Amino acid sequence: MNSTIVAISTALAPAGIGVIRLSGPQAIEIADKVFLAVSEKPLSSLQGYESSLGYIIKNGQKIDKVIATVFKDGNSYTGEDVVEFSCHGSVVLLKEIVSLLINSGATLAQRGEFSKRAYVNGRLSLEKAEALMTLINASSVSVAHAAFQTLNGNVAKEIDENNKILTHLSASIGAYVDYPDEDLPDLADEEIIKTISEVSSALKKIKKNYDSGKIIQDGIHAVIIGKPNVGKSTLMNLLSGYERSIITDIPGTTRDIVEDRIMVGDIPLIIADTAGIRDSSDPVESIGIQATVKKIESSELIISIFDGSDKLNEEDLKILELCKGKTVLTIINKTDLGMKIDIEKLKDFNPILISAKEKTGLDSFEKALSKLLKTNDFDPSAAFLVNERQRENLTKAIEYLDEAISAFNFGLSIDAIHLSVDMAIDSLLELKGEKATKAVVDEIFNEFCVGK
Amino acid sequence: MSKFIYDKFDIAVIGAGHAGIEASLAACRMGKKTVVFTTNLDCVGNMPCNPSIGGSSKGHLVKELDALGGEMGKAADACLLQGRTLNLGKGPAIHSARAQEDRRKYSEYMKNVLEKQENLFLKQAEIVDLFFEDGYWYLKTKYEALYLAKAVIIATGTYLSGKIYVGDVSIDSGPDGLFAATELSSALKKLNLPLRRFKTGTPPRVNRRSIDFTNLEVQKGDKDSVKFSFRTKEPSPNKVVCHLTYTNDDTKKIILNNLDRSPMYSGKIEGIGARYCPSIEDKIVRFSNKKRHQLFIEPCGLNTEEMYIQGFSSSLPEDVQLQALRTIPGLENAEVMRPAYAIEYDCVDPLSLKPTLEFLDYPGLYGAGQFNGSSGYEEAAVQGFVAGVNAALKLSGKEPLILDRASSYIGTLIDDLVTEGCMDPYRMMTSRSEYRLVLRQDNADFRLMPIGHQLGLIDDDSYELLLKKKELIERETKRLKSVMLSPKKEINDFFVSRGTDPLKSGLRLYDAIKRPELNYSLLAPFDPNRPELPDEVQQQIDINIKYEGYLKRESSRIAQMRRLENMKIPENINYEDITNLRLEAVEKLNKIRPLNIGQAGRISGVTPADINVLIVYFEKMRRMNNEG
Repeated sequence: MNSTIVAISTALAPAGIGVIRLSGPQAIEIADKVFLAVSEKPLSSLQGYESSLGYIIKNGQKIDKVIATVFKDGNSYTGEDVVEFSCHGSVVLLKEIVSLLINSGATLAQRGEFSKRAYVNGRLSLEKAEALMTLINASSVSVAHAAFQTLNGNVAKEIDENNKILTHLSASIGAYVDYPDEDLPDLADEEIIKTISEVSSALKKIKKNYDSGKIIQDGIHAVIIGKPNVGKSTLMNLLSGYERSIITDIPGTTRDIVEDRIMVGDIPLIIADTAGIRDSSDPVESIGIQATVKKIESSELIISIFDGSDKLNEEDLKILELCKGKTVLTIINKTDLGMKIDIEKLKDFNPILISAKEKTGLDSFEKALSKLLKTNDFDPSAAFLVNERQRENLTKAIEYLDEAISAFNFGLSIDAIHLSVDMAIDSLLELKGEKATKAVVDEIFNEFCVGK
Repeated sequence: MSKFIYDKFDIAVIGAGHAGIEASLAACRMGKKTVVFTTNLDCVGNMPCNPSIGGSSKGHLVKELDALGGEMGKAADACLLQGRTLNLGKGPAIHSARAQEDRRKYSEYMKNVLEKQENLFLKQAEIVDLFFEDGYWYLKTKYEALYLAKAVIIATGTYLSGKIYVGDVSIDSGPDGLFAATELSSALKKLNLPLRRFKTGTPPRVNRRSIDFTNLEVQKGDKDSVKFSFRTKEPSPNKVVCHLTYTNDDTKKIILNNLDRSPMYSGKIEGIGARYCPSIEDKIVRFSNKKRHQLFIEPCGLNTEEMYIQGFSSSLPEDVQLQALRTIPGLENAEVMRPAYAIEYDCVDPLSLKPTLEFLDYPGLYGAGQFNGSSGYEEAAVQGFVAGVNAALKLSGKEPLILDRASSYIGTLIDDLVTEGCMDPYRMMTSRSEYRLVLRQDNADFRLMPIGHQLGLIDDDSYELLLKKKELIERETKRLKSVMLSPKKEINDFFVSRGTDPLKSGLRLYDAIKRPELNYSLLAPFDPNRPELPDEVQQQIDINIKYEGYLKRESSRIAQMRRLENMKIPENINYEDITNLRLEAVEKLNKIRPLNIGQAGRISGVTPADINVLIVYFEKMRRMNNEG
């Protein structure tokens, strides 16, 4: 536990303030690298329980005005040196500051890692420890898996492909080294370095995508499904407050998946509107349907929507089939047109009645959602966390590859280069969650919430 | 009928191959009265396959064993016919010594070492039964004598229910025409040891007279001869050369036309073969687009004309072997003295062993070598050593010897076997070690001799020499940091001539050595106060300086790994009691019973979340005990 960890301690939603917590032997030293006090006194000169007003500095620019509080070893939540920054509550800004601290030497805290440290350092009672125990359970793997899915198939595939290239390269070097007398084609150093450089650039590109926020989106990934013209887009627009989907009366208008980020109460949803589920002869639309089915697989929440003024038909039943075993909230729309639907058949899927057109029933939607998500112990920060971990592993992999290249440029031999490649592979495998990694203590403690 | 009890021993070793030899010697030298059984006294330390020791990563194993106080390195040096260091130019971490050996001489040498060893009793006897009664293991010989021992090490190699295949013919047999040990298998099955069938093979031996060497490529030994043991003062000179030849289209055609006559392809052999040493028919089938396969012709000894055809292992019928062999340049008139064969044998699933190589379920019973699912003389020898040492330590009531993955290839090999298991014969490879930059053969003495010394297997004088070497390196490294090179003309001329930038200001000698174009010895002319140092000390200085960045990072990785290794798991743990552990993890942990959190984390099917559950659980137990 020698590392210094950092995380956002408050909820990942817009709020008045947001708190970032740093804990570990270098907490104060790292904090001083990014913090400039108005008093110009470094944090290292403060006593415990003392605060200081100042700025977070990035590339010489002040990016936020914050209050830093220093807790000394033995007198903090974790029992280690702790610095807490109370920042302005923009999620984007908070993340930027966390990234800054990571670049200054901190590592991102795993879920529950602050609590784990508190526990190991004797700052938690046995009862609390028991409570923590129940939180660590096997679902962590599926959470990571789901989050990796949300990462979108292409990125996963891209990482996979690059890892395959590296694995192949490493195997060729291995064979060359372990069977020196075999009649193997000589490995040209230039070829090895070319491959490493290519993979490194590809990974850098993927990472850049993460950083520009295309991939990391916080909140619960939800998908709206329903047969055509049942009111999906109306609902979506209602929830998000402005018009994104094309709404017409022609069934099948929504062909692409439209995504939006909205707050329902205090729950952030990344909500995707989809093409209606039905067998379509229109090739464009059937592509849309395939995308919908895929989206359902990767979503954490399904909002299925039905027309209350009509009986359930074959398409509706098909939708119910897709919902089985998933976390589902069912909306019965068009209640203003009279109820003909057989609600009994929907009772396992948390049905609520609304009229999107009349804008009634939205309160019960919010309540039902919050009830459903609480009982399922959803953690809005999980996706952020897993993605952030993946980003960190990607960063590690890139570092190892660049290390290999500079080792080569520095005239070091193939044994050193080979090891760097292997370590990059290790990092990428970890990213896929396929390896029970060896450094387990500091590993994913995913079942806890960050920063509690 | 009265029982004939021959004698009581501390330790009994079944098998006097490479594992059995090291096991019995280590046990004896640690003060234990030891008996070692072989089915044939003329074949102690036999090399039924290649007449060579070492090779990539295997050379590491031999040097590590030597630093711990094993015998293999000394014997290999004494019986060396030709030595080479492999992978020169590919980096110090993967330099590996390999030597052709005089096979008969090696066997005689080892037999004599065993014979002369005080307190060691070498017996020709086949063990047919093994059972535990009244605090002793009973070993029954074929002639019905009983031997009693407090600990037993099984090192049966390929003899245990060995079966040889040549084409359609299969016979119960050990290697080299020696008989198989067929009865012991049923005794081991009675003990419920998880036995399984593995397979390996060997190429034909051809009479030298019948080989035409005229057009064959010659492979000589290295100019600087090779030695494995730090105790060997003068390395043996090279005495022989090897030759290279290649298979061709005709060879391929003959083999493909007769594939249905191979027991491997007709499905007669059930044993799982080593991926790492495929038969010639395997190579031709699996790598069908390869035009030719390389073969080495290696002498088996100075007093024999038998030549080993490396790369031509096969289980095809003798007529096909001969026909195929005679298509190969130089071998057109080959006279085969011993045909190639495949051999299938019983071995144990190593997941049933502890890292001490003791069976999880049978205190005092150990497995070593090929019996544990490995392949290779070197792999066998190091396991024999570890089993022998641990049996002796246990009888003395001392802490076991467990070498971790960062300490050695030996530790890596054993950890792989007992934690991950193996699905086919396990061969050591450099890629298996994630700490391989640190695990070099040039520093095996630094890594392991202190342990050998502590065990009493390395004498004080050798240990003193090691400490002296260490001090020399440290002192000289310190000096290099204080000596400055100034931008004088002669220095800059030399720098430019080596293709490195000339100096503009002063540079520490230490930093100059870091430059890829320079090294310690090249800079001697500009370092007038340099002390006279042995080559191996100079080599260590070079490596330590040039790889400084890597080595630093490695040591922090190792420290991190060792924190987990130090979190011991109590032996009486009941994983079912830990509520939040997944079922799969409980099953795996119950089966493998890891000694510590580090080992638990390496078990496949145990996730990081499971490990965290364990850590919190143990911490809770520890605190409850402290409070209680």
